[in-house]
Amino acid sequence: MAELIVMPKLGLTMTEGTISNWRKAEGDTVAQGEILFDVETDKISNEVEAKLSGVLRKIIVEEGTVDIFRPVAVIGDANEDISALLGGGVPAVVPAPEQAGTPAEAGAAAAAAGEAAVPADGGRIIASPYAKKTAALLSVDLRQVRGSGPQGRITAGDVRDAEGGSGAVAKVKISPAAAIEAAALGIDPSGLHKEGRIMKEDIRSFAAASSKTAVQPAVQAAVQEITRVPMNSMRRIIAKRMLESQAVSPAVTYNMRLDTTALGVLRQQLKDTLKVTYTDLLVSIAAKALLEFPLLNCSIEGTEFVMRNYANIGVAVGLEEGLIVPVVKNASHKGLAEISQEVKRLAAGARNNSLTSEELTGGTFTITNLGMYGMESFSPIINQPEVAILGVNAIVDTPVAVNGEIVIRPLMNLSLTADHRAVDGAVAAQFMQKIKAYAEKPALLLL
Amino acid sequence: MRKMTYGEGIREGMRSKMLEDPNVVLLGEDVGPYGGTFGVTKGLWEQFGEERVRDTPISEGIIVGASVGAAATGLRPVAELMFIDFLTFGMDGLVNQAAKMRYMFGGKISVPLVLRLPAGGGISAGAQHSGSLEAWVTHVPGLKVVYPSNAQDAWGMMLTAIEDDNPVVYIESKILYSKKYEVDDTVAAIPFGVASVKREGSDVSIITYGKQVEDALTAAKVLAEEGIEAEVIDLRSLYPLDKETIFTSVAKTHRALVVTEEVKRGGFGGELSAMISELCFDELDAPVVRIGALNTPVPYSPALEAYVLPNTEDIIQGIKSMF
Repeated sequence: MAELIVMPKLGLTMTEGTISNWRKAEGDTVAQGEILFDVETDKISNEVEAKLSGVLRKIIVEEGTVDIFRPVAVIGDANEDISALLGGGVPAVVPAPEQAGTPAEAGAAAAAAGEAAVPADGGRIIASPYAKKTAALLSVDLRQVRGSGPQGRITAGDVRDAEGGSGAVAKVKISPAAAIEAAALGIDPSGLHKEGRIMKEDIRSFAAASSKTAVQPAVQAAVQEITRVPMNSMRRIIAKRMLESQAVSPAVTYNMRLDTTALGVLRQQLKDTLKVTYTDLLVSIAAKALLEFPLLNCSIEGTEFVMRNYANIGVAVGLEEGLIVPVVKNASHKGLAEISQEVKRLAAGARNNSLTSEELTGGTFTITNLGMYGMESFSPIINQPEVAILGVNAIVDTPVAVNGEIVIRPLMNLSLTADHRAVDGAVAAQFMQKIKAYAEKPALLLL
Repeated sequence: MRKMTYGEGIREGMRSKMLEDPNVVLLGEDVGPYGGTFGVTKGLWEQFGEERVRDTPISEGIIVGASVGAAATGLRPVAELMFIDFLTFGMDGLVNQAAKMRYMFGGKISVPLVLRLPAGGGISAGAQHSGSLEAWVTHVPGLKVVYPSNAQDAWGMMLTAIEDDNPVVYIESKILYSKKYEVDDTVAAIPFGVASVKREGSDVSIITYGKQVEDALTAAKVLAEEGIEAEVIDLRSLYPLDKETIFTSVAKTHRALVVTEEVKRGGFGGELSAMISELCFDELDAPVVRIGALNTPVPYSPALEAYVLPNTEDIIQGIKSMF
């Protein structure tokens, strides 16, 4: 029995998802558990697995944004009639509020109405049997033919039109596979003088022969090469959000140096009970400080500040392909042990891509740490819709003057970027002073 | 050339065979002095007498049973059932006896029976008197089935039917009985299994028989104005079937539409469609389209009946859907 594959709901708040990439083409065999397509929400990208085995009969939405539970594809048996599933308005599979068709749906409909019979990615070509016969006879590659029949089906007339249109080259007798090979190798098949049909092998040997002669001088020259690599979906999201942030926020970065001696002592004292990182400590400290400086913990909506009596701290986690910011919810009201465990769990989740949309949303302030790379100062970009982000730098043993004497102290710079719409310089500075106070005299945290 | 109705064509076919062969006899309800419910046997009782033109009780079982027995024992009966719908009562005699006797007796018995079955709707005769049930009989090995669409064919095919030593189901379109056609002065027997191309065309083949031939020709005329040239094939005999004419036509036009008055489910139109799809697969530029009646008994109300039965417009739309 063929079944509709729908846009899954990947988080409590998810209402729509954007299909960025199909891993399978129409006509491919799909096993249960195999990755079918990639979905992006505004927070994450996810891989969607096939819930059943069969043949991917139809991709309803190639690319674009789809409401949750709306059909995006059909999996069924190879020869099953799936017209019933495709017919009509393709209703949502789970009752969902009626909504006007999204542009993506409209796009899919337009494709179904016959823009071209051929999916760009080389899926199944819908052509009539006679069109196929004609195409073979005239050596026309059906992928190059636009279907004008019902449902975009290629008819024999379309094939003949295509043959006429491509002029002299089409008159070369060439097998379809050879035509593809020729196109791939950039060879004009009319350059091959062969009696009878040109086959793939002919193209290959022609290519081999010409590369021996013509291409050699080029090899000796220094090879400058430009390749274009498409952004993956995470990178696209990062690019978009970073640019948006820069456009939205008048941001100022404030650097403050602090002495981490006391935090080091604290870590030593806790070592046998709980291993905490400087990040854990800073999450805890920042969360406390934010309750005292609520403007750094707000968001801006129109001409209003959205203020909170809690702080959810996002902790940026670097990944090979990008960056992700899981959120420690309610950090302002959690103990250090709880925060530490949660940061560990979230970081692990970020690395194996198992975070839910819930764990990636709702932050009110972000901490990002470049200390492990020896950075001493940077200007982080605010994670919208937050208004501030705290950059953590390396701890460096530094000679400082204490009470008229030069001593070596472990110092660390904190780099705060804040949105000037909400946070004036003085407020940012006072907030940093508060952080510094908590960090250098952690006993204050007990008050 | 002369003008003659479809019913007269059938009658003249029977008359000429009765004149030739005293073993040709007619039987059925009111085929005698009354001249048949639709007037097809009018004048034959007077001409050939009550021995050869016999009224029967209102029992299709008796009509078919007696005819099968008569045929097996040397006569060449032409039996009329008033409506094809009541073939149900004569079904055993036809499909279990007539159709199988030659086979079961090793060729020692032949059954030269012609069973005339008025069929089709369009005259507001109600659900029990309007059926198109050719699929019931085309399904049975041992039966020949013909369905003429005009007076000349009705005459010529009646000659062949009576000459045939096997049971022939001769289906007549009720709505055509009084329709007039040009008929040649002398009519020769029309062999079974030879379709008639009523109109040549290059773009689509309409395959049909009976009353729908006329509808198809009308549709073809309309389509021609829009640049679609339809070829119209009148099958005339459903079994044996002139596959060659069908396939040659489809190989020329690359599109086929089958129109029959039956409901599509389980119909003979489906058989034709499947055959074309199987054997002309590489010639098809569009799926074979079937046109038939809606999936319901034929209504009595003229308005509803017209709605349910296929018509010229359905054929036109069916053909347009292929382009």
